[in-house]
Amino acid sequence: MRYFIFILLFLFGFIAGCKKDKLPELPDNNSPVYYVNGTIGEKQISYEAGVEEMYMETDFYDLNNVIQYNANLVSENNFFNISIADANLDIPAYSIEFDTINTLDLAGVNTTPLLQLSKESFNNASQINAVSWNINGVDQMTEYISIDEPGYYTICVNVEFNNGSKRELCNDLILGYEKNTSFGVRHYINQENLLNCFIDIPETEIESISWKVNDAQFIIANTLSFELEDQIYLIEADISLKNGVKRTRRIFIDGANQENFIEDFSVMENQNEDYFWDRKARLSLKLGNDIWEPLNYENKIYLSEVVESGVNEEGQIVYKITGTFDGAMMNKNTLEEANGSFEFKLAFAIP
Amino acid sequence: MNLNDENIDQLFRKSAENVKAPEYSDAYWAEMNQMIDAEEKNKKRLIIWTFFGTIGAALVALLLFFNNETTNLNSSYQISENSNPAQNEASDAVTNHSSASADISQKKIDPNQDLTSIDGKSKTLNKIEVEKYSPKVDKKASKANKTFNLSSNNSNKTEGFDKVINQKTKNNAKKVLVNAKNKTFISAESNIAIQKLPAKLIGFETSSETEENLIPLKNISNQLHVSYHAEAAFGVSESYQNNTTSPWRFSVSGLARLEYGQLVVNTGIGVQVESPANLQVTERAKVYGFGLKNYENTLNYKSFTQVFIPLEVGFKSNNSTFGVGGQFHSIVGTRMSLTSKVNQEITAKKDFNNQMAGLNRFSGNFYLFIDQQLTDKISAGVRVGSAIGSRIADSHYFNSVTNDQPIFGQITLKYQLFK
Repeated sequence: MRYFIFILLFLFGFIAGCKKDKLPELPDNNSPVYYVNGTIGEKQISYEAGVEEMYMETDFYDLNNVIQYNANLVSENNFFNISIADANLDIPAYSIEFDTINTLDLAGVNTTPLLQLSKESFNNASQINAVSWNINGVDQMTEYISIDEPGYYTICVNVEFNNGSKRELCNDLILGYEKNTSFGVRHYINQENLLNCFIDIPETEIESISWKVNDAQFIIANTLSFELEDQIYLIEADISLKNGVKRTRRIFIDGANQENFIEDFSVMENQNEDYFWDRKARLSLKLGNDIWEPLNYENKIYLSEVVESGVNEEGQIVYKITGTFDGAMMNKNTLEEANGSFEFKLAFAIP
Repeated sequence: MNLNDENIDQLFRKSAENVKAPEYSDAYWAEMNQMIDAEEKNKKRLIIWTFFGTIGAALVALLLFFNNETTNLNSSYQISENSNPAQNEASDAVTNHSSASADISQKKIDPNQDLTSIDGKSKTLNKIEVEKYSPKVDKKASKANKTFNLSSNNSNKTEGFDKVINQKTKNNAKKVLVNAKNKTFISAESNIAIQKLPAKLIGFETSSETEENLIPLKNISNQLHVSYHAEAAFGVSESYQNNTTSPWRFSVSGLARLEYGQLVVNTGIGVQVESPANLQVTERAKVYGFGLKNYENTLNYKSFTQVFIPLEVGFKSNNSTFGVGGQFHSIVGTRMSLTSKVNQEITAKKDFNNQMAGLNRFSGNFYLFIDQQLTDKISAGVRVGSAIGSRIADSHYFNSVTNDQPIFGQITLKYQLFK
């Protein structure tokens, strides 16, 4: 029997001495993280990501070329959605800083024009026979354009001068969003037929300006100056300011007919500075076929907690945002009004 | 609050609206089906066990009956009690064998007399008051409603004296020589053969009426026959899961066999390999985030290597040994393949050795066995049994095992190494 015990001990020792690979560990079970609970009128709302086909979706969409950070708790028939508009559109590297936000104003419907343009908008309107417009690649049928909704617009004007010549110039305009610095490209031609171009802000704010003439790099300097010849010039300035603002401005010069120019009409983006959509939120709730939206845009979304929760599979930083909303809402289909009250935890990602 | 019918109805409606309906998942149905299957399997197992248990009990009963019959036929020395019909018969036997008793009464056994058995072993009975073993025994025993029926049959085979039963009745203390090996003994002087006193009856008698102590005539180890055997066993087992191959079991072991009369006890140590085990356990995690991710680690154990300690108790009859046995197992090695899945999509596959995740290291089994002696040294047998206790350990491992305690059968071959 003693031998048997020795054998047993030997076997145990042998096995215990063997190196064992570690099994991969599974993540811990948890409860639903993202949710919305509340009521719309008498109806109880309770959505949880991962339950009843409901899932949390974070993405971005463009609204008039402005990024909207979108959190969508969605299933096949229902969703609870909050999107937040970007800000600092004139600073390309900027991403919205969720952790600085305590309240989200609702993005209302603007009723006053943010931009109005016509032939008369130009200082040399007397030299212009007709104008036509193109907004974000879409030709406009009228000489007069009016834009009410905030966005980052590319507007092209096609000018027919009195001598029959036709020229086109495009510029980018930020409407309904705050600009960190407002400026425009100005020009004058002196008696020696020398063209001088500059921007109308103090030189100290300028980091660099890259000037292109007829799509060819010309000079990097705060000002552009050269002698005009009898030809047309498309002058483009890529402007970088010390505060991070980067804008591109264009003007058109006709060396032969110096009155037939098209000035930098992007300065018109400051026509209406009463209404901005920076960091404004849109909220909507879908219940079957009904979509409910806030009725009173004075109401706010209050954020009680904003936590950076990691990086998603696309490498985007994800924020967990907990908040509440309480206010009147309207059924967009039936125009029925009801009070909506929600508590939510949603995820927003930043690209 | 006014709890009229309308309000109550409203309350119930609101409550019903507020309560979330249970989430449906196909996986739950699958789990439920497996649970139902397992339950049905358990019922089947119960039936099988009942069947085998009945057979086993019948075998044991048969064996005992067979032993009793043998004892009755051969018995010439009985303790009987008048209050018992069997004892009355025994009293009659006293009358029938009065002449033999008379012979006994006339003889005195010398305490120092050597008693020689047929097997040639010489035994000296010192300090034995055999002189009290006389007709007085019958008379006094009769007074005390006790009759010792000392009779002889035709069998005069003796192997030796093994015990002295120091038997004290209420009226008189007497010591009786008893052959506990189912053999007769012969007094050296009287040549009186006294056949075996079934130990079972003695025990009954002494516990009820007498203060009776068994005093070993010599060291009891002399009565034990110990031999050492090597055993190889090969067989199959029920599969742990439906639609999988039944695993085979191969074991080798070293056994010490202890024989005491007809009683046989085997114990020792062995190693068993079970393959392909096809025992599958699954660890799952539900992780909520943007949605629900179902993580799975499925561990498919392909084989087990186990050290075991067997313990078998049986009865030997002629060349056959019947009995029950059990084995205490400890897993010492495994082969296993891991499949990791996320939302049912396989993300990783890897083989591992000597993992114990999801398993109990220790387990056991219980079986019935029968061995047939083929030659002096070789015996062959069969054992049929079932595992005891669950193989699956951690509760967080969901297992698709439908038969956690499989029935197995093995053919055994024993070879006697030495005595």
